[in-house]
Amino acid sequence: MKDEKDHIDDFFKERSEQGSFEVPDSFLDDINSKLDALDEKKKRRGGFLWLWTLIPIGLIMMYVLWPEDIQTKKTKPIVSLENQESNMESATLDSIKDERSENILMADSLTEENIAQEKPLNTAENGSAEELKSLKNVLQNDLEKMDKPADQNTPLWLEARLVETIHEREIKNQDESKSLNPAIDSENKNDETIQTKDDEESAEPKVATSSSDENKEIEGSQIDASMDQNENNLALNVDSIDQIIAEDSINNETSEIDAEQIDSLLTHTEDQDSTLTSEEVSELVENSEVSKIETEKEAKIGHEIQLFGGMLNSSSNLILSGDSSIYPMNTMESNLWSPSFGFMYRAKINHFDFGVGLSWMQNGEKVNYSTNITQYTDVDSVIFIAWQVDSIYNQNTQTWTVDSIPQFDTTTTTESITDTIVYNNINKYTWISIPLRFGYRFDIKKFSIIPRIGLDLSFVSGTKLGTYVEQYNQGLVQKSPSQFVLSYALQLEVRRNFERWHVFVNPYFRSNVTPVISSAIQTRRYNSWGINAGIGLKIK
Amino acid sequence: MEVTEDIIREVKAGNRKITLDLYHYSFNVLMSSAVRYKNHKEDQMEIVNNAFVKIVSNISSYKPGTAYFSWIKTIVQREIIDDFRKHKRYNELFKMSDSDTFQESVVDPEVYESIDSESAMQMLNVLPPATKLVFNLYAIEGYKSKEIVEELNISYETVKWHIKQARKKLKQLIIENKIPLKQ
Repeated sequence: MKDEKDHIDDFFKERSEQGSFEVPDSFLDDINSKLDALDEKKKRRGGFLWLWTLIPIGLIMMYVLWPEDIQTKKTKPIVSLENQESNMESATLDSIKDERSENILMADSLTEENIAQEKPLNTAENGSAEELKSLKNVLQNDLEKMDKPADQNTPLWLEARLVETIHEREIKNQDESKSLNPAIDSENKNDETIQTKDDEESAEPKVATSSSDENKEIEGSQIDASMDQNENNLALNVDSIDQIIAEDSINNETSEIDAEQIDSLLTHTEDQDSTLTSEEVSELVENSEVSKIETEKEAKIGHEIQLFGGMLNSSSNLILSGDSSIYPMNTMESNLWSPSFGFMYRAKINHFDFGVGLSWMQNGEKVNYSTNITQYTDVDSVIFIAWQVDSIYNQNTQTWTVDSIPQFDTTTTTESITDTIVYNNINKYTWISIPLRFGYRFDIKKFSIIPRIGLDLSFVSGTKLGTYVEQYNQGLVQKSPSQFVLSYALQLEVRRNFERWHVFVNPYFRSNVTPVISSAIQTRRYNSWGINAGIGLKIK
Repeated sequence: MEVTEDIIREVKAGNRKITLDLYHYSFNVLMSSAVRYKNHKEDQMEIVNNAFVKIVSNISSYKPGTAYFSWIKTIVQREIIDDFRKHKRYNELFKMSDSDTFQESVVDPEVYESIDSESAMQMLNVLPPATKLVFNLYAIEGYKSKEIVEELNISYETVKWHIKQARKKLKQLIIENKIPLKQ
């Protein structure tokens, strides 16, 4: 048997525990300088931690407080496109107006030319109705050429409307031409009067004025002469109709361009009244476009705040070192139910869902560590102490240490464990997490189903230690969790939407990527199944 | 002095007075470990103060009510082992040489009782550094051979050899100090 007092190991152990020491001043100076350095290091580290925490909070606040600015930035291309479109439209309209006014002038000049040309026709009487008709045909052909793109691009409703308008104007012009006939008759007799008319005046007033002036002069003229002239008047009427048709063709061209604009830029102008002027149409189009973009913006980006709470069930995902002597501690551990709560900010862009928030949660395990017989026995050495009797019958004590014993037989000993150490408790760790989530929304009437994936950046809260059976023959040991743990999460949110708010349930799975407890013996992570329920509110 | 929640809070908050009180309270344990491994005052100071900085840094890991001295002892041991590992010729330190011829003899228990702690520490300091480290860890700190193998990354035979050498040498020192042996 081993005699402890004789053993040199025990002697030195005892003596080492008896020493007493005073703190020298040099030690104090040194420790003060080391503590100063430690304080500075802590401050720096604290600053970094705050920075990491403040970044997501800052982002949330930006979204909450200045959502319009962010939206404006995001929708700038749309707005600029809108401006471009409206600029294009206005430019097109301006050009159309200019073109139209030019065409009107051209038409006016054409009318004047016609009128001017009519005089030789009328006065020389070498023109005929057939010639005038052929001239009309030429003009009509030109118009048809101009109409072709309109036929290709102009909607049927617009085309029909144009035809209707042309027809109305033809009837109107016919009436006007009837009233003009006497004037033109009289005009035929007074070429000089017509030739001296101011070019800036329009054809109709000119003719009307001249006709009113000349009416008195034509009183009492020969019926035959007027009959001859009527043929020419008919030609003039045809021309005036053609002129109107030409004007209408210009209008038609304008409509054609509008239609192109409408077709290329817009898609919802079919409901617009075709009798509106192009300016009115463009205005309506602009308004509808702006409202459309606004509606799209509303539909595209949404902001929500959610409050939630729930429970989760944690189980250890334990990796033990390969040493066979280590008793698998997880056989004495069981799952733990714990609470969680927090808030989330969510941004919805189309059907995509982005979330960031802050949550409080706990995980860990219930432990029931009791003594178990392991298969591991460590025998360092055996000390033999024997008493020998020599030849003169003196008793001598002999001691020797044997490092290895040749084994000739197997000795099996089953000894009951005598210690009564039992540890029955809960290892629970508290985390403040920043969850980052990404998901896709499936909207089904008033319900939404949102599968999500995400990461949790978790910082340990408090100073709770875990108790584990880890080291050889040292009983229970305490381990502190990692300060920071990264986890991934899979979620499926089911929500019922109301006008501005919604309620939801959110079952999820969460698993640590980095270990919570890490040592030479164990690497411990946690897998958690949980469910959260809560309420959400649209903030914009 | 008892290390309570309040003290931990103050230490964490950087209260220098409380921290220095804790230093005085811990000093005996830290120093008694340091002197077994290091002969020079400066080296002992380095071990003690570095270990205390680790204690302050990790004070939140300590659970009030549990054995504070055991906890800080573990920290100072780790510090000593880490310090030893920094040695440039680390592996050479553990090289086994031919053992001195020394006749095994038994020291009377009364002889042990006559040696005070200071003399015992002086005897330990005579041991070569590697032998002293292994013997300290095994005999005084209570490490098992297997743990020493893992901690120092040396073979099991090397550990056993150093323990045996330490014992022989220490016995020799006791005998050379003219301490009477029982016949």
